[in-house]
Amino acid sequence: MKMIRWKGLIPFAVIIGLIVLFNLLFLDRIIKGIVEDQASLAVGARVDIGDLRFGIFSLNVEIRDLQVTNPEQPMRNAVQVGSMAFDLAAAPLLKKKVVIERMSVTDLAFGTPRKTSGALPRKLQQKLETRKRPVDIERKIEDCVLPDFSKLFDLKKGSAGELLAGVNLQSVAFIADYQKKLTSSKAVWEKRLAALPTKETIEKDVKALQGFKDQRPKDVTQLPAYLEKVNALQQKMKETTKILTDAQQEFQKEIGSLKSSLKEVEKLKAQDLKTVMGKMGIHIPSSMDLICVLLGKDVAQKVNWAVAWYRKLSTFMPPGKPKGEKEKPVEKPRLKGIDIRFPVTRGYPDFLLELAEFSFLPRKTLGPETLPFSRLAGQLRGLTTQPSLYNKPTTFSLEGSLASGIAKELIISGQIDHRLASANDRIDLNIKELNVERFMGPKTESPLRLASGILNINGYLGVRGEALNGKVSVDVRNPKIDVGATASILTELFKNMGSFNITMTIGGTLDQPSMVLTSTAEKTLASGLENIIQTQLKGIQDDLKNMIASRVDKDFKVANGETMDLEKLIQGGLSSRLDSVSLTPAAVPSKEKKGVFQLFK
Amino acid sequence: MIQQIISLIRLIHSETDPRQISLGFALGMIPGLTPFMSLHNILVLLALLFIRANISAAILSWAVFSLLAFALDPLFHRFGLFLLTGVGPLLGVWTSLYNAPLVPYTKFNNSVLMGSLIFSLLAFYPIYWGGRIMVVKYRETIMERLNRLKIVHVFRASSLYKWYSRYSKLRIG
Repeated sequence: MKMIRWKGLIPFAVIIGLIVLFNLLFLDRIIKGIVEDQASLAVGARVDIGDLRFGIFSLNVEIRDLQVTNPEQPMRNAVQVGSMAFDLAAAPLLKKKVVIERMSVTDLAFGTPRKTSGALPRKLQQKLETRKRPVDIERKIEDCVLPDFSKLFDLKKGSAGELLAGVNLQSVAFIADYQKKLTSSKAVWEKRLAALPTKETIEKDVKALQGFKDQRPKDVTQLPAYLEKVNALQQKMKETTKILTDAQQEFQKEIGSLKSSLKEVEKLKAQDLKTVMGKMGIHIPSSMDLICVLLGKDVAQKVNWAVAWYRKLSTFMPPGKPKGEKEKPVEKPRLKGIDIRFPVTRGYPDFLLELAEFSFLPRKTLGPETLPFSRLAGQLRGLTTQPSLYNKPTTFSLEGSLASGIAKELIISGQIDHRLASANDRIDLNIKELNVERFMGPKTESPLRLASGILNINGYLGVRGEALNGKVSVDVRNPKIDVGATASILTELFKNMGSFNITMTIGGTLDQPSMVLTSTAEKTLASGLENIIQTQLKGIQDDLKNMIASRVDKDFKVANGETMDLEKLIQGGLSSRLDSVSLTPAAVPSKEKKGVFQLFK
Repeated sequence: MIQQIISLIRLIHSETDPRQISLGFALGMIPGLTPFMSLHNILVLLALLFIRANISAAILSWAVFSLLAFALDPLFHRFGLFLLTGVGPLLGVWTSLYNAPLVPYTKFNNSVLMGSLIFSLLAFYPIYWGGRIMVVKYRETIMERLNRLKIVHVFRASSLYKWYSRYSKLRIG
């Protein structure tokens, strides 16, 4: 049997020919689709390519109208590129390495508006969710907010009575409680006083004793009986005195305690005022809160934005591994296995962009809120997915200026060095004479807004391993600040504000960045703010204080009066009885010898 | 699928060389067990068309082994991972291949592909040899017995069978 079937080569050639033809006809679309999907997943928002042409024989790629959506604003592009063209190096491509020796990027624009939303379609969104690593950022500086100053006005508008409605005042409750105690105490003492020897009884006893003294028996035999009677009466007087004295002491103690507790009312009134103010949610902002809302928030947003993009980029540029550590295999979903990466002994990394040159052609119609560059040029060198293999850091620089005098000069430069296990990256930013009025887009709802001024921004942001460090300094000249309705209370404070500087120090980690603001305007704002708040709050405080007093003071006076009455009543009753006791004759005979002799003197 | 089974039965019952049937079956096993969109499958296709292997047997084999592959993929992954990372002397070979032109496009560094490809290459000769023996034995024993059955003689003599035979010849011719 002949084992070779020469005719079989014909269908084989036909099948291969059809595959090649299909690729030739649809390869551009296939590549475009793959690039769009993969880039969209990497960015987290849609990446659209207007047109992609791939010359299969020349290995030339030309991309037109590349739009990368800003994930934070789906109706806006983070970057838009008019066209980019590059040649793929043939020899590395045989080894499945994509090497671009030189790429030209023209018509670079930032922040351009989109016609359609750039949010990820549901299918890609689901894919992205399975890839995403959750990152919990506790509190970002851009979260800084001013309190709702309108509350102060609301307080002013409403009467103090309305403000106090539904608030349980401790002072009022205390007075009510005090009155109950006083009533109870009064009842107890009145009862006790009634039970004590009356003035009449005491006077009778005193009189009886006096009578005994005057009627001394002359007969000695009657003397013991006489003495017994005198002593009994004297003992009774003594006991009466003791009972009355004890009662008086007890009463004085109790009334003293009641009177001193009544003094607490003043403290409770102050406490009530504090509580009511607290419940109104009147949080007094610091001067740095004001700075943060005014400019720090914007700078922080930009820093967070830069960190977010850096993280995205870093996933494609993994840092080198420490010696001896094996590279982790790329895991694929179930049934698709794992791609093992073996060391590249010679040649190129899997992806390398050796040089990209950016240029910009001034266009008139880029749409509103777009950064209109009058000049922009720059370079990117050594972008690779295997920095440790390429063994050179990725460097970049962009230099230009914004049209219509928006900014005199803009320089962004930096390097991404992932050759070693610990990344060492840095980005420098320098913007000279940025005209805020022309630069800012439409007015946004913000309590404080820098409406005009000239900014000089200088700063850097560095990453070492996972640690962030950086400093951004913003010099603000001739500022004019718009104060929104909710913060109109601060109008005077920002009316004639002079030039100032804000410095933002960045620290923390990529997962948890921290930012600290300092400003030369801090002291001025702090004292001005304190004056305003104090002035505003004082009126409200006084109204509330008076209202609380009006609710408490009447009852307080009544309670005070009742206390005095009780004191007068009980103390008076006890004192008059004790006075009567004090009329007891001084020399009263006793059973003792001395007494007997005294009696007969 | 049913059509392929019928044609295989007809093939076995025909005068076709058992080696062609078993070769087709063994070749069809490779794209069945390995990921279909792989470069080595072009070579399999070339071999299938260039060598006198039975295509119906190959298609049937591809379908059967594709179903089997769903269950075997986890094992192929482990086997491939072991070959790619666990065999010291082979690491040098893989590294050289990884750095060689065109070879990376074969995706040989994928664990499932490596595992299933090596497995199917190892199973190739046993499947070919076993298949050939089975066809020969079938023809010698079961087919002989079937042909001797009266019911088969009656059926073959029936007008229905004659009509079917004519129709089949027309379709093939």
